[in-house]
Amino acid sequence: MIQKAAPLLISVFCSYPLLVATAKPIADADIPRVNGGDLVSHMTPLRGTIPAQWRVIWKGDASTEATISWSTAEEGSKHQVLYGTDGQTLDKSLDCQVNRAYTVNKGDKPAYYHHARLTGLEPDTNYHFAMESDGKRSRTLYFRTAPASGTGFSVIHGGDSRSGHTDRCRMNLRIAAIARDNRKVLAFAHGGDYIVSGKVWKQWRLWLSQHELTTAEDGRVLPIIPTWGNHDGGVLYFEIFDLDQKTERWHTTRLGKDVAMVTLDTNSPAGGEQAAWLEKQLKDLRPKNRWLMVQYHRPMYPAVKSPARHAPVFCPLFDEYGVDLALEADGHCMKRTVPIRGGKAHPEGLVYLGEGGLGVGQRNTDRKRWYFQDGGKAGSAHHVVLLDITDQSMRSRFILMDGEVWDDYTIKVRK
Amino acid sequence: MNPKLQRGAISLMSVVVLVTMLGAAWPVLFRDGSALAKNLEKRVWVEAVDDRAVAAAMEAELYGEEPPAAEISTHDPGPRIEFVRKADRISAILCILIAAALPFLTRWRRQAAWLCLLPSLWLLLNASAVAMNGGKAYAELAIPAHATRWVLPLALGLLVLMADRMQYTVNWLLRIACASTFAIHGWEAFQLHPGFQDLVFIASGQLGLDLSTDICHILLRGIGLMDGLLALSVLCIHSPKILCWMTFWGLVTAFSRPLTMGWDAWPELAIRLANGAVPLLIIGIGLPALIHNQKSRERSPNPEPVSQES
Repeated sequence: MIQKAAPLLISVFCSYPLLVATAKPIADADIPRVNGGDLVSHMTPLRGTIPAQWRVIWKGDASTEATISWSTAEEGSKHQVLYGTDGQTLDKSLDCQVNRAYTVNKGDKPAYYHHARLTGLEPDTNYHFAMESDGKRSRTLYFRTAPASGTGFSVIHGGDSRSGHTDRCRMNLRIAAIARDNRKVLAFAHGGDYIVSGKVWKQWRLWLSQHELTTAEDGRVLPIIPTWGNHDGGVLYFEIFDLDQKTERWHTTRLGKDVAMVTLDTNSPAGGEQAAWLEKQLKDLRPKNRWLMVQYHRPMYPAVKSPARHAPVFCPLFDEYGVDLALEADGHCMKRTVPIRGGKAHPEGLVYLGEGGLGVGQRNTDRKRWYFQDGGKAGSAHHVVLLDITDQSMRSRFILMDGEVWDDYTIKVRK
Repeated sequence: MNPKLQRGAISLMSVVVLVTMLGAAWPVLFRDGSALAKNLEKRVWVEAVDDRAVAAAMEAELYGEEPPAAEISTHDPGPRIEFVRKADRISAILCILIAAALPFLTRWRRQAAWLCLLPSLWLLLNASAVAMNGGKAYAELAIPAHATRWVLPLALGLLVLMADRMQYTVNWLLRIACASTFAIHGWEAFQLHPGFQDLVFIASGQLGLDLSTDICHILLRGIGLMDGLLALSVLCIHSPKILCWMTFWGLVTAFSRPLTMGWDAWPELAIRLANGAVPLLIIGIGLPALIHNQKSRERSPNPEPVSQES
């Protein structure tokens, strides 16, 4: 009896990730009402060496490089990613360069992370991939590399998923829905504060599992461009996003030759090394890039709190080098300032937008601040910002949990 | 302490407590609320969306952890969050009113000085909320770091209520608070607190100096050591010269906030005013510290504190 049943059991066990992948999709209209507990069937359990908690990470050149990362509950011995440009045949493979244990807290179950750093990719190409750990293979997913040059793509930005598991999951589903409906969306820039306490593995573990919900129904994964929030302290952030703790607290992601996103760290001092690095980056990138964006966690022109202490250092540099857009988080609200230069409203100035609403409870904003008058805007709701980047303009839209648009604003390219 | 000096000390304390309260209440009335309210709001919200039960249900399924004890149950947090925000504003206004009215109330009835406990408790609770909320460098050290600001109203109340009997206690309350604030800030400076680095970078930039990171680190480590020694000295010896320097340094660090961040950051100065005022008050009270030789006894206007206390 057992012998007869064994093949059946084995086949069911091996196809478990596939079963997970084919969980019933959630209708768009149901996203704001779906129960967090009901979404578990859409996530991969962290068991044995089943690849789970996948993410694609972008830093550096997004046209030709990406890191594919996942977690396993057991250490395993062979971890590889199978990939290719054809969804049917994953003709290439790469062994993970990094296989280590997460820094879990005392008494927690161990877990392991695996990073496969892909290089030499073709720009503007769909890369299909499956993660394999000791023979256990994930379903086939894919992501698209950034174009070598030019525009015509979109990026999602959002931050602050640190509490509110159900709303966090709902917002992840919204991101997946946007990616499904808009094939031009390439990446998801997270503005930081993923969880409440960056030193607590259990919180990261759940965030990682829930992050799977950002995967579109057809298996499309949006590469994440990570930012370090003030609640993400500790080593786990660097382990999860394959960043060097000493040299990659701030970094640049080049989305082709024409678009660059500079990620800054508002936990580190603004002055000294970071300021020198930022100035060098902006000086180098500005003449070469049609669009130059910055993202960081603590806002320079906040809608709720006081300005970050980084403002006197960062803002003059943004002004000097004509940064096009500043993406912020931390405030738990929504805002778009008027264009600002030299601390004043200026038609050629820089627009600061965002403030974070990926699940965390929202706060009341102070709409009386000068940078929300005569065209600026502030409000409170869970949201992401969708940026449509073309040669002549960049359109930013705040998309709410129910798919409604709260703000639609277009920036013209600098001459 | 002679009556004139005592009146001066009480006046100074009253002014500093009022300014501290204005600085602490400003974000409550015009910005995002106090640390305490943020903590309570988060608790109310997390409970309303039943975050723990949702997380436990997911953890049970995904990682084989213990399933949640109860079913997920959610409710609208709106009314309770609104209540917390109102209570926050009311308590901030109440503390300001107490601080402002205290000099007049205590002239009418000395027992009114007990009201000083309220601002003291409110500031202490806020310091503990900063520690619990996290998300800031060294937030966990907020209670000892903020000691001067939450001890000062308490010391004021004691001095007004029982000046003759409580000078010794007030002397030690202020010395311990001062030592605690200087020691923690010294430790943070020595550990190269990112915020302190920016104060140094921005201030030097304003002076036209291009400071390297290495120099900034050396400066901060030096400041950290100095603050540590000052903290030790305030407990061990009664030296008006050292206390004068602490007053000056406390005010410099307090003023550094608006000078580097702009005058919109005046509440940051206001809440730190006590760091400069407390050493000055210790000079005014003039009682000895742990180690006091004959010379310091002679200098001290009140050399027999213990017998006075008893």
